[in-house]
Amino acid sequence: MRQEAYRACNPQAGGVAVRGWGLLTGWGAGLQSLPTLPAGAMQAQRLLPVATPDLASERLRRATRECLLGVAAVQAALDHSCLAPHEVAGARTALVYASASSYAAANWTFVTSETENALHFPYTAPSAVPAEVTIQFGITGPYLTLLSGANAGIEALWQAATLLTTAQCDRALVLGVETFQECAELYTAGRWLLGTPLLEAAACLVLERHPSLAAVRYHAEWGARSLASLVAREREGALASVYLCTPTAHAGQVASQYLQTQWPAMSLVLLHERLGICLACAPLIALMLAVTAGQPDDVLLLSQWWDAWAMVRWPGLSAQTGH
Amino acid sequence: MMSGTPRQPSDDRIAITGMGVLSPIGEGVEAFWSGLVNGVSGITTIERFPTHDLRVRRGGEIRQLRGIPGFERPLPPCRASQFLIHAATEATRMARLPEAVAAGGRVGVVIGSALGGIAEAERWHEQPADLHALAGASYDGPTRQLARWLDATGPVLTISTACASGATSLGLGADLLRTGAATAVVAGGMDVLCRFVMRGFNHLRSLTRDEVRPFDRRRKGLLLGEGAGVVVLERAQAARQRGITPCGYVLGYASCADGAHITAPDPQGRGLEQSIRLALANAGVRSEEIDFISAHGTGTPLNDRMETQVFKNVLGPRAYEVPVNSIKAHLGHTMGAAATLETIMCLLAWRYGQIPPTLNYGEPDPECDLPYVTGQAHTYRPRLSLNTAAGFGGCNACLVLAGGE
Repeated sequence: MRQEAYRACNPQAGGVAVRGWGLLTGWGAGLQSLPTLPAGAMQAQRLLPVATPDLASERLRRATRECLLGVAAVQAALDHSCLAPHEVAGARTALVYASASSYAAANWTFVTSETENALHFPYTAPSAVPAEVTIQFGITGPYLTLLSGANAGIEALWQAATLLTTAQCDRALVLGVETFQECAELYTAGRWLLGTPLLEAAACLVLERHPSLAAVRYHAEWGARSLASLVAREREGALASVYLCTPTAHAGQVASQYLQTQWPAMSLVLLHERLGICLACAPLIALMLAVTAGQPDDVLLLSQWWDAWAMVRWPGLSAQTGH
Repeated sequence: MMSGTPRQPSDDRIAITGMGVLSPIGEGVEAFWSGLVNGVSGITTIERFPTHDLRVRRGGEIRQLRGIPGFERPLPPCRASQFLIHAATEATRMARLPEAVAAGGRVGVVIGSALGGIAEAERWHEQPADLHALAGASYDGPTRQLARWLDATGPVLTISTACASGATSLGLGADLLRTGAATAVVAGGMDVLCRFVMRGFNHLRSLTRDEVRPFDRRRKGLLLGEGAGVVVLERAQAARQRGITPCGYVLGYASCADGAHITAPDPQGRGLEQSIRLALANAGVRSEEIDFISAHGTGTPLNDRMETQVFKNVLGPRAYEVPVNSIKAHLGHTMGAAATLETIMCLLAWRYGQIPPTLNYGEPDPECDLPYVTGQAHTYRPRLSLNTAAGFGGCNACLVLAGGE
């Protein structure tokens, strides 16, 4: 019995497939709502807000906008994956949540509020968003909230892949939510709202174990030469595309110039140019775009936050089961 | 008294090679341990910020931070970052981590927190011209400050599973080592007391005006505390090759959801039970081999009753033989730091052959009827320990720990 348990939690061969996704952004619902080319028209805007979902649920009457977005993105992902809610209920589904900003609205409101509201305080916890998702769908499996800024999306993909390949779950939901509207003054003060606009988003991927796929590879480094170091590691093997997710337009320009010198023939997708800045959601949307493109070789998802770069190398997308 | 034998191949184990503590009962591992076994309480009237409008004005406050000998650099102004740097400095010195870095090691950082840099948001609200305060107000601000202080080169992650964060960070750190993303990881948790969290818990009415009394029939609630606990994680083989004797091992870890309520734990403790069972499986350890439990033990009526039932579910009749303690009455609930501090306590209990008592326990509760360690520290050397944690949002986590042999 001991040996069986031990085997069950140790790495198995194989990788991870994308079964489906849900996406709500300031551009609309679904991947098809995103602009197909760099969106020049958005340059005049500072922020692309996402509409608050109308979930018509008495249980969620106190839930914040970010919680509603999280629940709606998961529901959309289940629909896209042809899964009924009861199929993700229980202990064999993991929920890995990533965000750089979604807690800010509730926290800032509580810091600045004159009138105090006991019901509001629980929603200041970043875990409020995944909590509402687990309650809504009855999920009791592995559970994690990553808040490492824009790199949290990459980390969430890695952690979900780890949970799947070590058989700690059979299915993993990777959820990202980024909201900015309620704290626009903070982002203005921090000079975030210069250049490319902030894009509000809620993105959810449904991942499953796939024995015939290669393993998802994760790496991250901190420091001045971290991007160069990551690029040096990924020279081996065929790469179809690099999806670059940076937290500012300037950082994206600098990094893309460097990547073009290293991989001159590489297809490089700059998420900030195409969509706007959506922080931890960007790698999740990038993976949706990559699956849709159906490229046969690996894709590299790269993200940056302050002095840190993080990447996942996602293999064999032509074999993915994305719809 | 010992029992249990870790069966994982020793080369695969994740070793804890350094520990660092900043707590309301002392700065540094030895002061922390001395306070725990001698029954010192760090609960005082809070002085650092106004509490006149709050129902409860006490907590585990750290009154003074000593300087860090050997460093010329000024500490960042953010209190949470200062806490982390203090604890991490002790841990990295114990692990002789700079030697590993000099030899080309890739050092990652994983920090868990329930509040992150929210105290900096309060400071920025009062002083809007201070953009450093704004930059530090995010959840990952203190982690980044620590990464800079340490000259980290590997992954730098911030997690928040509310008050289970200090366990989750160690689990993720272990994953980074197993996947080869880092050769050493500085992992732990921290949180600071501030008006934000005191106001919040004040409104939830979960703070007690009485003493914190985990598992006691008279328990009425918790008190908050502040602090930081940090450990250095390495692969056991790598530590041995560097000539480091581990303080202990993280054998297994899991974090699971309740899916029940936005703040309160599931009364049946399903998420906690699932976490324990998954962590045991992850460790390759049978429940019969566990010989000590460091409980979350907040002193709230619901948590302590629920935890007791979960321990009975997992351990069966043996639950009545395995000692259980909670150190929340010593420190207050230090939120993101709590589970890391409790991990350090478990390893020190193995090192010194003593289990610190659960303070303020006097009247047994028929629903909490396990062998809690009360009164004085008990002479006992636990080789395999469970450390449980739970938090807002139905977050649960469990670590399976082994002494450093």
